[in-house]
Amino acid sequence: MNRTKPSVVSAGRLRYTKLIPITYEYGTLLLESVLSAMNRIALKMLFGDRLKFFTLVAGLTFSALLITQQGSIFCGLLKRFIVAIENTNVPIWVMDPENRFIDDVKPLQETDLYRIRSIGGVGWAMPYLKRLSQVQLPSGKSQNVQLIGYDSQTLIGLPTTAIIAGNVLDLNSPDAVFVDKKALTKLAANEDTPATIGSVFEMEDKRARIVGIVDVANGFQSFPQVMTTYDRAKTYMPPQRKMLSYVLVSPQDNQDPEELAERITKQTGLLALTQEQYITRTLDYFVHNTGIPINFGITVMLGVLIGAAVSAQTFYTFTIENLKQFATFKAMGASSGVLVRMILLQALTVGLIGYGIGVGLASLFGAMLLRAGTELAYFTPWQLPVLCFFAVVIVCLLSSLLSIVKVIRLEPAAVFSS
Amino acid sequence: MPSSSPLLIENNNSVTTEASRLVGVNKSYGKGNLALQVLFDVSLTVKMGEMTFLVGPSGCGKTTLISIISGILSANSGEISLFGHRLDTATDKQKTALRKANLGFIFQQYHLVPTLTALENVAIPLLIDGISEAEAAQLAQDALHAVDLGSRPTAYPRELSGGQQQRVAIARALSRNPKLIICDEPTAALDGKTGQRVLELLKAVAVKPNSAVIVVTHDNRIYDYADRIISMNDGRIIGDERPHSALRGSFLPPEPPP
Ligand SMILES: Nc1ncnc2c1ncn2[C@@H]1O[C@H](COP(=O)(O)OP(=O)(O)OP(=O)(O)O)[C@@H](O)[C@H]1O
Ligand SMILES: [Mg+2]
Repeated sequence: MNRTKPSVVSAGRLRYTKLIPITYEYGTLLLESVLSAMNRIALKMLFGDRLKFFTLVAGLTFSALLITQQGSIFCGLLKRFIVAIENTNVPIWVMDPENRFIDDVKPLQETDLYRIRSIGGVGWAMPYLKRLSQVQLPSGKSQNVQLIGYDSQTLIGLPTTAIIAGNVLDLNSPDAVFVDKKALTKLAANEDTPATIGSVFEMEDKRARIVGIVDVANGFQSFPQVMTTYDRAKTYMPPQRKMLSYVLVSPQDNQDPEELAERITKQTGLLALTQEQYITRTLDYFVHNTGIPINFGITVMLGVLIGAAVSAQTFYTFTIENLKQFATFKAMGASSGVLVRMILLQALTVGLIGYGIGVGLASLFGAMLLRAGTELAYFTPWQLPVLCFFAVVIVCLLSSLLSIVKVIRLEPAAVFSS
Repeated sequence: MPSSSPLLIENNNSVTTEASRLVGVNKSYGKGNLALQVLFDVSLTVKMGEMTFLVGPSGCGKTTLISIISGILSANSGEISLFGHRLDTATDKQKTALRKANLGFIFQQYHLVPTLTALENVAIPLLIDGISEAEAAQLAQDALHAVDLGSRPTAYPRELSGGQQQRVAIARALSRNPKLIICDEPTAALDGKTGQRVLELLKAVAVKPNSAVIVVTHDNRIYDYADRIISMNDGRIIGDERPHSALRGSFLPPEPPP
């Protein structure tokens, strides 16, 4: 071998011409150490039939992509319903019994707050205001905003960990409000310069000044959010008899939140729920009273069915075409078990590849959405790829079932029929 | 050509063992009113060291018969033995083991796996036997060599002619050194010359003192290679002849085909 100093060219050559054979060689070695010879023959039979192989992978990719992508959009929507609850993060929510989800505010009386504070076991109880309000922009247009008011002394419920600019203490100064990131563009005085700390706008004919910015996810209504103290928030609303939206409660140290919630419900006639119960109630409402889950369910089912049909059909033709060979193997003494393992390996191999590509594409889709900053909710909880994995495996097993039955039933005598 | 001729003398003296023996075999397909009997009281002995042809019109039961001989199909009645082991009373497992240990198959359509190389195709029976890969590769290469394809181990079936593919199939049948090779219409897909060459090769490599070949065929161009021709009609054996007497076969060139 020619042992000269490696030049850029040879390095390049190494990279492009050697890497592929090297990878191939190590891949082959790896396969050899893991799979028996017959199983590798099964894989060669599979990969050798390019068209069928790609059709199979495409069918399963389609299923995996659809499950993950549609599932993520669905979960994104679900998340929007509960994100406000999660951001507030308090042990107990007290609300009107008719309340179904967090944006479905049925106001309470402020006296309710004092009634709750007097219940035994309550550590603290704080007011929480959540209403739509309107900002008048200098252009003359108006912009709906989600107005949130927290207890003026403690600011309990304010997502302090999400503050990316400003200081909570600044909320003490006159007209001070926090806004979420999205509000910066929506509340800009003109389109070129987004609002920032110190920017001023008018809400219900009252001045508001941005002193802090919070980075929180959007709720279902996805309006810009304006956060301030409870007392100041009231001034940004047309006067009403009932202003209080929720009472946020924490139990005393030795109190079980669920028990306390039950007690509050019983003693006040209001509805008290732990954070978890409230999230469940919200999701229940969402699942039972909107058509959204059904629509998503149908799309996902269709995707799975089409993917399953395509791969089952292709896989079956693949097996039928190989039936003579399988019969020959049988006549030569291969047991049904060996052949079934070969088929399962083939099915699971295309399944895994399809799953990988499908979930990869779905993540890419999510990343692109994130980059584009669209409002489309997209959230992939870890359960989703796991679920998708099992769905794909089941689709593969079902697809190969026909083939497996065929091969088990196959009489070796079939070798002689031409 | 037939180097096995001295053996024929021995065979005529009937001192060799039998590859297969059938006594009073009946076979029907289907049940009850729909049952179709295709073999009637067939008795037959296939000897070692011979190439036995099984001929007869289409549908007369030749394929059925070799399926029964090889233990991949059960008869309704009769005694079937393979190298002295009774098949009619054996379990499927035992039959599979007997097939593995003793039989090789060659088919009209070769039945090679199109996505595997010649060497891989030939190695399959060995791999099924659980022989180590290195050894299987060596034995498969030897078998390819025996059929004059030693230089084409990496060729795929589509890169080979029909005759070459059938030779790969012969190598596959030979690879585990079977005592009986069963061929169903091995030359039907080949032209006359190629068919003759394949048969010649098969006879040279597969017919040995301790092994036998059964060939089912319609192809009268290859009758020359037969040591014995059994004729069938309508599920019965109607003829059993040795086209060249043992002595003639060993000293005289074969007669031209009719
Ligand atoms: N699996 C089966 N089920 C029912 N009938 C069958 C089956 N296999 C064969 N037969 C019938 O049995 C008879 C004998 O068939 P077989 O295949 O043994 O004939 P063959 O002599 O090999 O014919 P060919 O020369 O055309 O191959 C035929 O009438 C055929 O239709
Ligand atoms: Mg036949």
